[in-house]
Amino acid sequence: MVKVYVNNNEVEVSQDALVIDAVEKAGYEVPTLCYLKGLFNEATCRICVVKVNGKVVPSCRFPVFEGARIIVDDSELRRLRRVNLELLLATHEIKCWSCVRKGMCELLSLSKRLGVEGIPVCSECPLRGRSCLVLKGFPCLGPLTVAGCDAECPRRGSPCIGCRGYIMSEDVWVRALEEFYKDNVSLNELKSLISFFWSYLPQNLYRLVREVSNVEY
Amino acid sequence: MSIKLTSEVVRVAGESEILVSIDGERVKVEYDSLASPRSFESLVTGRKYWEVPYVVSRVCGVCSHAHFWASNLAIELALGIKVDEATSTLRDACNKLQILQNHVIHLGFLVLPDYGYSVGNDKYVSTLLKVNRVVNEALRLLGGRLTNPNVYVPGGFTEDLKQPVIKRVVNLLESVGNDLRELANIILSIELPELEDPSPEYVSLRNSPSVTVPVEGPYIIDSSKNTYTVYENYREIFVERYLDLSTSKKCLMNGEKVFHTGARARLINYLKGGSGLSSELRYLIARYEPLFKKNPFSNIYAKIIESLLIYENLLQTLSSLDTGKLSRVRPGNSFSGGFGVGVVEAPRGLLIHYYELNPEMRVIKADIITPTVMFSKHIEVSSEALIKGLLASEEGRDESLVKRFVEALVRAYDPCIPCAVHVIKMKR
Ligand code: SF4
Ligand code: SF4
Ligand code: FES
Repeated sequence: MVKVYVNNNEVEVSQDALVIDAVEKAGYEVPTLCYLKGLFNEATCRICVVKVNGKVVPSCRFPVFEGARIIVDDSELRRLRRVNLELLLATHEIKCWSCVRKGMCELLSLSKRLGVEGIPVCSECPLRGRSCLVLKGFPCLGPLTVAGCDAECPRRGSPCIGCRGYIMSEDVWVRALEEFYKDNVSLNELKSLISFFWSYLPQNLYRLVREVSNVEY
Repeated sequence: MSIKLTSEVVRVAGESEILVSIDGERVKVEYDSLASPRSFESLVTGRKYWEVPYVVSRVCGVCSHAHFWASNLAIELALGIKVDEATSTLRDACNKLQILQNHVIHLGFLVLPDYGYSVGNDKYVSTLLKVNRVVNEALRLLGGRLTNPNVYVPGGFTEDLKQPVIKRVVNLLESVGNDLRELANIILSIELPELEDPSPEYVSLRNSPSVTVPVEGPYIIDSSKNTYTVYENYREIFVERYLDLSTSKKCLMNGEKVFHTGARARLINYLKGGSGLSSELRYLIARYEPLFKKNPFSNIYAKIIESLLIYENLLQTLSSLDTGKLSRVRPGNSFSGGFGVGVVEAPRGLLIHYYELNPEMRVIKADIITPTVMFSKHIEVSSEALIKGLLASEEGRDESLVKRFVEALVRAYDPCIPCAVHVIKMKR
């Protein structure tokens, strides 16, 4: 057994334990993504970072040692977790409107927990699939709006009008505009709705909308 | 004596101000909006018909349902859509819930402190908060998102409301019956300051508050002496003017008569024809009717009695509502353009929305007249009468007393919730 300190609380864990085991034994929790206890700990996502003796390490992979001082959470760790998640989202093909996981999405819950704005309202929407408003011709802004409201409006049959603000990622916009909206809704109506809350759309996104629709907005 | 009192009063959006100048016998009161133009009418211009209610429900946070329904109503009429009875009952219920909530909050947090009640009193504050919570929950169940409703578009509800939801709303409402009665006892025990209404003209939709959102136009509007059938002629009846170099609009009946609209007007006119009241409420309204007709301060009595009436009415209509009959009507494809007018009773009185649509179903012209604009001239004339009365008596010597009375009077009108919480500043 070795003695370690988690946020200054002393705990004893077995010699071959991981930092995350010590953290959990002390009653704390670290967010994880790629870690599967006993099955996978290749430390590929780096969401579970903590500080051990002042150094940032992935807790799901790093072994404990006698006297280790572990900090589970501070502003720097939170920032790092957010950055790591943003990097993951940047390479993830976000098309929540046609995703098969039906809302059981760890990226979504992690984004909400860490306050990262990259996943759209569609990820939370129970209409996704055959009842989707866009497929019925309504310009719902769900695909472009930051999730977090539990799809309050589409949930009740009313299109999302984007009150939570837009997703910044150009990729998400390109995919939504070209693969989803284009054949289903009138792009003029879409543009009109976009101007409701988002009249100051950044130039790059503004340009995208203009390119697909060929109408001034 | 020459006194100038001003108060910068902030509304839900923008500011408004009441300015009192007393110069010997001459008393002048101006109630003004200092708000920068909010341009809702131009914000909706060019928009597709179904976007409009979402935009205009944001005119006001405390009566978003009234704006929501009024615009839906106007657009439905423009498009020639007729909704079914269950739908109109339900939207009327949402509007009533918001009137109830508005009255309770206004009376509890803004009016009672004027008459010596302390907002620090735990029992009474928790009663208010309880009623508010219950109404919020009921509104969420029926109308969707709080503050800015979302479950309704021109033509009907966007979701299938199920019978158990209505049942839940009824149960929720039943849980606050006693709290409402308790509040009514407190309000009705207040001793009101004396004041003779200088312009006893009361205007309301026929059958309100029994029905606050009518099915469709033309709308029958009762005033003290006349009955008007209002549709596209609404501009001739409710004439907006820029008065006395002021920046805000004042609305006069037929361009000349200062009038009141809101709870007091609704109850006075209701007695003339309204049916379906319990005898207890009929008695209560009849008992206070002479006072309603005489004293503008009695608007606070009217508000609590109206709350009881609305409460009773909501329980009745919701208990017998069959949601299986809800249907959604969509506009046809052949539309050649047209206009529609929506008139509803908002918490503060009559609210009028007008939209003209082009054949693409986009708005080309919009016009909104709000109740605060309608009765703000009435606030001015009754404040003047109040001050003149005070000046003729001993009390008029005391400036702070004059200030307190004017404040209480303005608050009794409930021009807009945050509007009335501000204090009057003195200017010499
Ligand atoms: S209804 Fe709207 S939010 Fe829901 S899946 Fe479709 S586009 Fe996304
Ligand atoms: S409009 Fe706002 S509350 Fe409604 S679904 Fe969109 S983001 Fe959520
Ligand atoms: S959970 Fe992915 S690195 Fe630890």
